[in-house]
Amino acid sequence: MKISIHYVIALVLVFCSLAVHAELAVIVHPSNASELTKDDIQRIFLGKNRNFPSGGEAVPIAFEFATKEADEFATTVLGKTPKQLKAYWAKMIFTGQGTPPKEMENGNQILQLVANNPNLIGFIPVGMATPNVKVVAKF
Amino acid sequence: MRVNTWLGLGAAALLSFNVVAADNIKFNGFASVVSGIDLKDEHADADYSNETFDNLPESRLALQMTAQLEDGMRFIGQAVARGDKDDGFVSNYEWAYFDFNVGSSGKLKAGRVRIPFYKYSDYLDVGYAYHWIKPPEAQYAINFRNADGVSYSHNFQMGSMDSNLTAMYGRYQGSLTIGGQASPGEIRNLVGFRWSLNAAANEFYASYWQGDCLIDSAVLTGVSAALAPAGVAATDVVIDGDLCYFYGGGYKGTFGNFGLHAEAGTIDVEDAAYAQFTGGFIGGTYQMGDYLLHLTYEMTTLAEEEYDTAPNALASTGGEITNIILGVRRDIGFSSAIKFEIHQYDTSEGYKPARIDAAAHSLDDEYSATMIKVAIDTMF
Repeated sequence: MKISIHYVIALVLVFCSLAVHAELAVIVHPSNASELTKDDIQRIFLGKNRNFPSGGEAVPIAFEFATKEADEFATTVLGKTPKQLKAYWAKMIFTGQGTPPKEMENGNQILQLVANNPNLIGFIPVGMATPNVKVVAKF
Repeated sequence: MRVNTWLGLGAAALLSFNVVAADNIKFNGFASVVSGIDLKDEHADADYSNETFDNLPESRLALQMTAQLEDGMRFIGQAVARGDKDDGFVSNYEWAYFDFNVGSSGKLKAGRVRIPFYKYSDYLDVGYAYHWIKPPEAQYAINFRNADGVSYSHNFQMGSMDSNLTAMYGRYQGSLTIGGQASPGEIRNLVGFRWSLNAAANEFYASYWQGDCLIDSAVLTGVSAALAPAGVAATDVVIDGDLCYFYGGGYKGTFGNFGLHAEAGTIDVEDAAYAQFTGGFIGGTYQMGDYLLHLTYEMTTLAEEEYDTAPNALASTGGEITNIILGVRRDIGFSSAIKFEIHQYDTSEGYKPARIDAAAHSLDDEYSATMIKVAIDTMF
């Protein structure tokens, strides 16, 4: 009986964890040869770097603000709460230093755009990735 | 409100539609409504009186247009309307410049650009971006923010640390304040830099700026006339192309829910009757969910300078100003905040910002103010 209770608790914990953490894949065009670290991805999505490590312009695109994918990416990859990210971009906009990534309504849009443009980098739920894009990191 | 600036910005935007796709033009804005009252009202020239809450002195509204042009080039215009006691709101272009990406980490700007004297200079008007209603004036004392010229900004990465160097060269023409009075002025050959370093939760900056300063000041003309009988040359009193400079630095640290803020700087003008101005502040914050509590102590020191000219004509400066700010900020959603602050402001005994003699001096030597301020900041 003890074993089955532990088993149930473990299952509950696994499902809870799945419920709060949807794994995201960072994707680029298949022709992009860059090896990207988490730090590289942070710098591109925070507007600190405008190029991929292997050269070539890097243009990030993102989910719309306050969606669960955008919130997850902000906290897991960028290390900021959604509120901190909003304040960060306010500073960047009103200091003329940069503008936030263009926002897309859904993962299919991001998938399609990245598959057709070697300069783009985006993120989607892991399960959406297709051979038309290259997954460079998972979080 | 004067509408010419807004019309100009709108017209510029419409014209741009001919050559720039509409989705490459973005409009953003911010606004702050600040209301305050001075419970003591010992100082006739203060921003706030004790008769009623006043909404105008520190309120502002801004609209920024960003046009993405070709090959990493942009045009940015920012019009800010500020509260004015006499005219309601008065708007001006604070920024109007082209910028160009230089490599992966550099940016060149040409036009009317912000001068990064301090840590918060770049977004000094965006109240939402910091916890005070306004950054402490003991440090943020220079009363002009923009100049016409060129600036270059470069980001460096050193291991896990981020660094930025911004340098600019330009010219400022407009109002400059001396002896508590705004006068027509100009700073030529304005040149300097700000270097900043972010290492995890620790942020540092250092800044140096200089220029050739000219101020058409009635205060200094009066001092010059008073000192003439003592053989002091007018060129040693008035500011007529003299070297003026500012240097300063600061630190911001975040430790969990606690924050530590400190900045200090010095302003001086050579070969003129200008008292060296040294100011700074130290303060702490504590974050509790959507609420942030803060306490700041700021202090300004005016160097002692005195000229004995005749029995009844004494020109002198000197003294200290202290201000304690106790406040709370509450975030509302993702883009607005409401703030409440109490200020206890005191000048030292014998405080003399620029005095010819007691009768001619327009300010009280020693006074205090207890101010209550409330602000709502938003951005859109």
